[in-house]
Amino acid sequence: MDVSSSTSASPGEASRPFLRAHGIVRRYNGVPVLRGLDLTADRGEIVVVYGPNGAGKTTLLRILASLIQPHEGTLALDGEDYEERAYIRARLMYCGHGTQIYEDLEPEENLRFFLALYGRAATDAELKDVLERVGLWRVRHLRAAGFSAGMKRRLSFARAMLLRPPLLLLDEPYTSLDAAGIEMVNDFLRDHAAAGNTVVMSSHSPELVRTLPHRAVRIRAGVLAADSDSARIDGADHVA
Amino acid sequence: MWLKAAWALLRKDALIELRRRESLFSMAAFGVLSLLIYNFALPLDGDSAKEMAPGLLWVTVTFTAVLSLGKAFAGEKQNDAVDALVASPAPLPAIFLGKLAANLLFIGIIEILLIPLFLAFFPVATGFSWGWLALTLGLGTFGMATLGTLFSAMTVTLRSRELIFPLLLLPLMVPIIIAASHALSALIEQDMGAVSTWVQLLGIADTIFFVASLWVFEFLVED
Repeated sequence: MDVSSSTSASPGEASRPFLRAHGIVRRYNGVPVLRGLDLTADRGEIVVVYGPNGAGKTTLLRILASLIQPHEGTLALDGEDYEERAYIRARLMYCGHGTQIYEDLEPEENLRFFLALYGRAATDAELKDVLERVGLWRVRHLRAAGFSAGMKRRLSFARAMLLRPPLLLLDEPYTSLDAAGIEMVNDFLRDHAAAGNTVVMSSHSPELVRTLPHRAVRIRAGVLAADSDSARIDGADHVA
Repeated sequence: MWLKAAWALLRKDALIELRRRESLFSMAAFGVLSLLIYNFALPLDGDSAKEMAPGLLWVTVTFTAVLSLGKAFAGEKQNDAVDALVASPAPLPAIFLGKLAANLLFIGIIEILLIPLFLAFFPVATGFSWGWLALTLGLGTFGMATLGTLFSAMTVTLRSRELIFPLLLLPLMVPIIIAASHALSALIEQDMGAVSTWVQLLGIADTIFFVASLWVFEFLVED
């Protein structure tokens, strides 16, 4: 199931960032949201993007997911330009504000469908393991329509646990999760990064990522305003 | 990868429809009621039945299909599931084909229900070739489903989608409805030369719409 091995670095590639976004500009109705943003992320790194509402965090993540195109700038993943859509999309996964779950399907059906989009399949044992980890094994025969928002978020996260993408993009991944859910997500992200995979995520809560080894960056006025290892981002930065 | 992704989408949509029974139920009710109303409201006997029945059948199939086609991508908006579809490595044409296949399945099921009713309600000769009937229905349905799938994707984010969808779709369906109605009419008259001509026209229209839809869909989804 793990696809990270396909992007393992050769010695010559060690200095090259796994993800590179350069000079990204994106406008909405002529108004620039991102104004020449640069961002890099290495293999095994967790990058947390902060910023006030409307700063462009979601826009950046959607650009990195190849869901929308920048009006200017270049993007590369593992040295490949984002024009190579099939290559890029086979190596990333994006979890946005929505859970991307089909409510009329059961958890296993949701997971099997998602994996099929990546040309993959999971064994019953793998599905059981993941559903147990996210705490949904006991409700595996129920449709997701009856789930709470937190349970849907857990199911959404189970897809990442099965796929283990080399680049995982998460937009506010802690939304609706309880304390156990947040710990479950952080445990997975720690393991995922330790295995050499890259995570780029947005968050409003520095407290929630405190236990994660990460690099914090902040978007302000459409560019990165801060970029440091485990940077302290205080709450005042998030007020528009 | 293509077939796997398209099959997964078809299977998922069929499973959801099987559980919700939303589209099929409303389509069946609308189609049966339409044929019943035509049967009682119009003086359909002898020559008038021969002349009007093919057009009435295709009008019924068209409006019945529109009910389902408009919802083809609506389910993908719930919980932003469409983001997972587009961000996945599944080729965009495969996503289109999966949706198209699901639409063909739903409309096909309704046609299987409506055709016997049509033949029972309207006094038309049934000595025609059933193979040609299946081909005419198949090509007409394919063209409708192709356009419907594309326009469903185009209008899925619009607030007044339910109003705009048929207004955009129906004018483009006109060539298909005309060709399919004439083919069916010729079939009832057992004029096989005319049947062949109209079926060929249907095939050409389907090919143009299918190729154009695949091309437009890719541009539509990529930002």
